[in-house]
Amino acid sequence: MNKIYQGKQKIEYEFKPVSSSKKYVILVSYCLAMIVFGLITTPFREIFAGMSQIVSGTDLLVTDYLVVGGLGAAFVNAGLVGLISIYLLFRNKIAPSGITFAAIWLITGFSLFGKNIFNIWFIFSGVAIFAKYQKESFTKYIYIALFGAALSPIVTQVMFKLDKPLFIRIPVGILVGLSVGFILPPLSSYLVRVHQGFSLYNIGFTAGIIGTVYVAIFRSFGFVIPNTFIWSTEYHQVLGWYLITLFVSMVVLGFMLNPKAFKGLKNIYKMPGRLVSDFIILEGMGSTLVNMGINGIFATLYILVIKGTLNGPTVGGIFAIVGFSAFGKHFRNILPVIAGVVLGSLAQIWSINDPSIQLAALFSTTLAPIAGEFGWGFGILAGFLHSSVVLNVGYLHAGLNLYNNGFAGGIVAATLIPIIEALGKED
Amino acid sequence: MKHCKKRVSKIVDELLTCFMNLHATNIKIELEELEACYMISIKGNCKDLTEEMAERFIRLLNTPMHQELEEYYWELTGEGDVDNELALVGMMTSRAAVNFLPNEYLEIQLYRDK
Repeated sequence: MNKIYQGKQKIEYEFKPVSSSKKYVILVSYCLAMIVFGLITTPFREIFAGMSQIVSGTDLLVTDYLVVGGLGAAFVNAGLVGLISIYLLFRNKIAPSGITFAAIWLITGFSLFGKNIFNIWFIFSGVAIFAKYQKESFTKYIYIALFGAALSPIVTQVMFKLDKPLFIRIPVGILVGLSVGFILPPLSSYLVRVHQGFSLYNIGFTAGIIGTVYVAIFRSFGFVIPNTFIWSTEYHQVLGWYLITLFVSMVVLGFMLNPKAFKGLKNIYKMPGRLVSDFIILEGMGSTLVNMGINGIFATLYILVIKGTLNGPTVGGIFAIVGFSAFGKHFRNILPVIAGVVLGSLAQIWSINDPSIQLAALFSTTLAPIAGEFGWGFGILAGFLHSSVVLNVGYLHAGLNLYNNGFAGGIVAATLIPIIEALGKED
Repeated sequence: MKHCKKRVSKIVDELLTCFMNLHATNIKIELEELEACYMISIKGNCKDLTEEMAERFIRLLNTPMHQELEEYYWELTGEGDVDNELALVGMMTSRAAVNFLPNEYLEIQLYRDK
């Protein structure tokens, strides 16, 4: 007996779909939780002063906003940037899915070290101008805009650090930000083919290339961008408690939404995670939240076990893992890649808890689909290579691309995938 | 929308690759440009097709339309050599009909609005 399925509405899912409004409530709640955390830990006056420091200071990679503005200001900034992004999505009538959670967690995470309520607007506006130029709705490009804020530091760097009079710096900064946003959409959709979706932080790869070109132009005009390394250590303990509470709440909420979430989680673990794997669409909100919570707990424990430091950048890295656990990452495909970075730190000249290697381990999970598709061996190899590549590409964009690991991940995936396929494929 | 024809051609590419990976030896593709949409139909003798696989395909093809995801990722359609992008195809099409008999044949009909 043959079977016929018609239309897009007749599929019966094993999970009860969660409405868009509930998903928005979940997103807003977690952003509000960040703001509340900031307000509880820091007096309001200090938060205000800290926000002003964050907005006017440097944002180059690595600039820990917990040092620049303090713990409270950094978290209020992250929560506000998250809320602004959610508002844009809501206003554009986007039905939240896995990529929405990935985008919001990524943008809030990076708002602890590089993105702020001021510098994101220029990239967003550049993308909006591109949409207008194409006579298309901004809705179509909204995720590119949200992810594209990776290059936000380029605006503040030109506006506040260029050695020129204010009346030159301000318009040049605005123009540079808008131009970056304008060229992002065609480049990002084109470059995704280069790594065939095996690096989840595709905009990181695109932003790395754009950053490289812009920095080359800057350098040729004598505008030298200094190395920046601002890294806090004093908030380790309080952040540990905060993160564990946050991620346990996700697991609990996941089971409340779907008591059989483990079944969906098992299905998620079977997926390679290559772009486009939207776990919320495929397995539902409940199982996805459990996946996000588990990965968040694991990433936090990893930093604690290796005696690393929880601060703006590492919490940003953990948030990136959590967000993309709705869009490609799960425990089975991130573990081999992180193992590869750990192995690299044992064999190479740096230590496992060097700041850059802590970040490399967290963000190397951009390559999780390689482990998911080709197995543990290639996953470890990808992580191993990533730990070397990521330490050598920062010079190219001088820290203007916050997704340095996304840039390195794209290079590693683009190098590895054709070789793996050439060696392994029969026809 | 830019690259309209190329997007349709990449959907066909994705479906064809998928059928060939199921070791179909006789594949018929029909593509028709209608007034309001494109109709893509593909039928093949997929001898390796199991019921579980077919139901997975149905689920992936029934992914709701997501224009914002399409705009970002459409170039991935038809690019993969080791895995399929049927969820992405689902996001790029408005209607899907699937007809199959395990170990015998698989027929997919998709509609993409202009």
